[in-house]
Amino acid sequence: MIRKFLLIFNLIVVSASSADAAEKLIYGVFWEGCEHGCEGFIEAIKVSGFPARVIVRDAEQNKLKLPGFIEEARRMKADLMLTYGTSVTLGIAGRLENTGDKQFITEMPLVFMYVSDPFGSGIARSFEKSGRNNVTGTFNRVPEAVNIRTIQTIKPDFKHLGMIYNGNENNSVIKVKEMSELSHEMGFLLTALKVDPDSVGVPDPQLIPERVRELAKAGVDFIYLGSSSFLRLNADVFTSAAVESGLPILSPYEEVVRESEALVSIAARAKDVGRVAADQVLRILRDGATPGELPIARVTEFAYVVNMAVARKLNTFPPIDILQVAETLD
Amino acid sequence: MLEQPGRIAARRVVIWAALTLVVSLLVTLYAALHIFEEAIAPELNKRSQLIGVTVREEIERALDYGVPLDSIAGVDTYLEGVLDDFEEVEQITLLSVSGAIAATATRQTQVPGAEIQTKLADIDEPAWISLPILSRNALVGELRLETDPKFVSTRLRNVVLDILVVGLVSVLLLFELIIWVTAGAVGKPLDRIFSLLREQAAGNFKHVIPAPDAGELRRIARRLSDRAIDLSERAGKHLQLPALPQAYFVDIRLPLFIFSTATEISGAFLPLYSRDAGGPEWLTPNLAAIAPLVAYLVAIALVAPFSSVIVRRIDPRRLFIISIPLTAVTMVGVGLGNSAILIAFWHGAMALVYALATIACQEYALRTASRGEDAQAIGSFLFVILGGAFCGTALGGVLANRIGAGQTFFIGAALVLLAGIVGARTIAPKIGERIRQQTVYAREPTGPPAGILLNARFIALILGISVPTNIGMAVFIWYLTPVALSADGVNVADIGRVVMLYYLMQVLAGPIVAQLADGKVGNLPLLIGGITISGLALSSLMLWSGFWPIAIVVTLFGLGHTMCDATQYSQAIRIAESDPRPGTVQIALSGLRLIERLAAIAGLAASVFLVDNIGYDTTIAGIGMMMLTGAVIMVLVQIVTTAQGKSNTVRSGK
Amino acid sequence: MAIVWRILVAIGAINFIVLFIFVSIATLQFDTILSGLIQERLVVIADRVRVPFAAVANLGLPLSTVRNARAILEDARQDDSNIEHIHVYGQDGAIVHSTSRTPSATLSQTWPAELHSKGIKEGLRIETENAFIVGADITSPTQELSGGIVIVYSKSQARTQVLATAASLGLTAGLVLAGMLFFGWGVLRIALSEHVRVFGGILAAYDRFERQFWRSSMVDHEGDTPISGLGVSSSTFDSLLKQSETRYIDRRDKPF
Repeated sequence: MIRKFLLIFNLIVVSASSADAAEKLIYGVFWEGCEHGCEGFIEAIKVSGFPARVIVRDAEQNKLKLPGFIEEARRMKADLMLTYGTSVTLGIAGRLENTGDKQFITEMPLVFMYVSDPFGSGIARSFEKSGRNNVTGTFNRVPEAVNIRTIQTIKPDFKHLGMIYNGNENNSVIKVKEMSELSHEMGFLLTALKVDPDSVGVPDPQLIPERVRELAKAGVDFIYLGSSSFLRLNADVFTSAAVESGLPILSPYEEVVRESEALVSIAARAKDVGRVAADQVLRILRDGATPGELPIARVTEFAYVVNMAVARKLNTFPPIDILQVAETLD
Repeated sequence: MLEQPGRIAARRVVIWAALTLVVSLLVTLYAALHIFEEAIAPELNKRSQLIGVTVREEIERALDYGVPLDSIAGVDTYLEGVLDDFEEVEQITLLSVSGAIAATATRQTQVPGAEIQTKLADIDEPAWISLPILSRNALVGELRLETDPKFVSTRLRNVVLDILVVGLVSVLLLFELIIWVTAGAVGKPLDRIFSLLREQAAGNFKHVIPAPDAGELRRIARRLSDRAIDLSERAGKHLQLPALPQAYFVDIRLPLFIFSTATEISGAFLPLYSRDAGGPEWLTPNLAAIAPLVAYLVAIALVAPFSSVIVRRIDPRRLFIISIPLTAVTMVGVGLGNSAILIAFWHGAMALVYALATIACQEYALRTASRGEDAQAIGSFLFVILGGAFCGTALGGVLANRIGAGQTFFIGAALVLLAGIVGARTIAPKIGERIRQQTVYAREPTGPPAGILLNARFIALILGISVPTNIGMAVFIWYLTPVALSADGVNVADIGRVVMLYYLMQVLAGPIVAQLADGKVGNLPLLIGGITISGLALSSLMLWSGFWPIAIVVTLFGLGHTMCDATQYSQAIRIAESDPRPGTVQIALSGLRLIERLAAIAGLAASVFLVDNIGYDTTIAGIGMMMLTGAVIMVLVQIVTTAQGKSNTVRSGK
Repeated sequence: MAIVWRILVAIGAINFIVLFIFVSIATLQFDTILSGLIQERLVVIADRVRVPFAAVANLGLPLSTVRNARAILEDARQDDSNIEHIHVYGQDGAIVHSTSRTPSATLSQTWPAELHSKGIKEGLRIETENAFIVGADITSPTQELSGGIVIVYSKSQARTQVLATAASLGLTAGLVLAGMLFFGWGVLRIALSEHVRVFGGILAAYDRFERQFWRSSMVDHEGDTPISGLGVSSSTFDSLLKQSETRYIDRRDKPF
């Protein structure tokens, strides 16, 4: 009798602890594939030794796929959702006013990354608290004023900023608005052109060079890429057109400098962003924190990356005092 | 035969010994200068070199990144940044390999238009540093740095001045030591032997001369002493016979010198020390800085009225020795003080005891003075005090820099004890009374002796000379000069040197002035001349200002003050002695001291207010005007009293 | 002659004391001067190291952003073997980058505040027992303190230099003292000849007196001429001596 009792007791205990020891499921939704940030996140989770499995879902720049992911995540009883990019986050978590709306993930913990302006886009309230119980995230952009000052130190006679933006991406539009306000504050002109004014969906990349020429004609000194996955994906077309028109580009995405022909970027290392996001996730899953109580984690280390080949082509170089800390690529 | 035959003998030895020693000191000084310059020169050059090398490194880095020399962005701003950060760089130019100027930054001199002309007329050739710029082992350009030669020469000049100050301190110390030693070896033995002989020739065999006190003449001393001892033994008294009482001014010189050095050791840094110590909320930094100064003046002012009573009750030697441990304790107190209030308190306490010690010494000086040599006695007294103050200030400045202000006070306390030990050995316990000069008045003044303070000539002396001079010293030298120079951007070391000029002038001119006062010239011309020179000098600051004008005015004021300093005391004594009531001399001197301090305090207080409202230059000029008014008062009173004197009095004596 | 010796010994001693004091104070002065110069040089290094960090701060980025900070600092540190450490600290005074593995051990918490109060031009300059601490601050475009650079520089080489200078000075002083004794002897012999004469005259007069006393001879041996000088005359001395002797004998022989 006692032996049976002990056996059943043991089974219960073992199954209970193995349930605890069971892996957590992290459901990650990415706008276009798993790139460096995603890789950095996965690696950081692995390095931490915390038992978790990461599922990667690719939205392929299509907002319509998002509700399907929500459903799948709920079905799989994921422990946490990771959203990459403003569009994905808006689609999965909704805005602040959508709290409680069953259409979105409102109870499962959610960590966002690569949202260029969480506040302007209505995803979070402030750096201290997201404003929603289940939502927290990371912030990895330098303040726009830093970007402008960078441009000013590279081109001391800078007066006119140019931007092209994707009407299809919320973050892109918000960024333009932000830059417009900043232009009044910091005293420069802003010319911002929509890539494809006629389309509501993904714009036609062929139109990019045309827009760039228009910016050049408008007398722009420097181009700022702003916030747009579309532009990032079409970096080659964008940047080579700019170089042809003799316009330098400042990009918030490092790979556009590294792999294409943007002149300069001040950005967080993608791997660092992934790591910071992983830290947030661990705080929730491992340490038991409530997402709503966590502050938005900020990346503190940025790299100033310069493409010297482009600099030579444009005869525009970063100032001598920054060269000591800049990462230069030939 | 003279009263003090030893003096002449001693004086000659002093001159020759001093000469020998000064020569040896000068040789050492010159060698020291050489050694210093050699040791420092490499360090001086390193900095300019370093600036050039690091700038070049940064440019080469840009080139390594593939930035062509002519296109280095922001290089103009960058070069101007270098100019901003390093004052000695006059111009920095980046040249391409062809010699064309790629970028340049030039320091704007005061007169931009005359830049080219002044460059050509420059006596000092600017120092050029030229550094080749390499990129991938090819010469691509040149970096040229032009540095201001004054940068190096100023620093070397400072080195020279610093060593000179140390040399001066050594000379003063040397002088005091020689006087002391010579007096003991030559002067006093002669005097003592002759004095004892005269005593014994008059039938007085009460005294002996201990053999060590007689130097070379000890055989004679022993013989003379034996007579006295023999007589006393025959009379059945087996007492220890006292040594011949002899007191000379020389006795207090060395102890007073060491004492003055010790107490002034904080002269260079006390305001800063006090200001940095901080205090309660209501104590602003400026108040904290002058708090010890004010405490000092107040303490001395408090003691002044009682000084006449004190010297009558306690003899100078005892008074001096009592003050020694007390002074040492107060200095330790200042050194340990951690707030401006505490520091001011202890410094005030020190001032109190210092006043007692110096009153004792002044009394000693007056009582041991020969007939008609009052000004010289006071003059020598002041020489020792000021010389000590000069040495103390210089010494304290150097020490505080290396071992900290607090520790410096402890060294000061140790020096005070040393002064006490020396003084205990040399200061004589018994001195005679002053020989008063007799005057006969047609009218006998009535009332208590304190009435001397209402004497017209005395009041004129106070108002015309003492008050303006002391206000000038406290306000102009102690407060406004450092503040005004600092506002002009002069550094602390140079301010200290300017203030030292004032003391130096007093030390150098003091003895000569004192001799003139006692001798051919007399008190009044020197007083009127001195106050006029001071007044003109200070008033001149309305017309010109700046570092050199202030330095010159300080020196002239030093001269003017010296002409008035000992002389006014001598004059006060003379005025007091023309009054037959007893004790007037002491009262007059106490009154003079008191009013001096009160004037200084009142002046300082008023100036703090005035400077805020009418500025430095106007305040200083105002004091100058006050001095010139004083000169007028003196002249008027002199005319009036001379006229009265011719009709009323008969004088005897000098 | 004895008097010349006496004076020579005395001024020799005085010379020694004074030269000793001179050498001591001069050495202290030299120490101060050298320290000042070294610190001025360090300011150059601190200022140049500051430049890239300031560039970053001027853009508005935190100092921790500079990735190759350690390399920059090491590069500067290796320029001079006396540099012990170089630290970069951020706005709150905490060390952000450093050449040292245990930076908190070397950075004092008061330095950042002190640095800011001193201002850019003057920078931080502190001397501890073993090191010079020199710093330059980094201000953002809004003139706020973003942080600063601090260099910790060892004093050992400076100390050696000061000791070497002290030795040179001491040697010179010693030679001068020896020279002074040598020449002083000659100078004093001439200068004090009058004194020698006068003192000698007085002592001779005394000796004559003694001899007369012991020989009880009333014959005045006026063989020696009276000496006078320095305001003193041996004939006066002589007469005073005889007068006082007479008085003494009178008193001694007086019956009680």
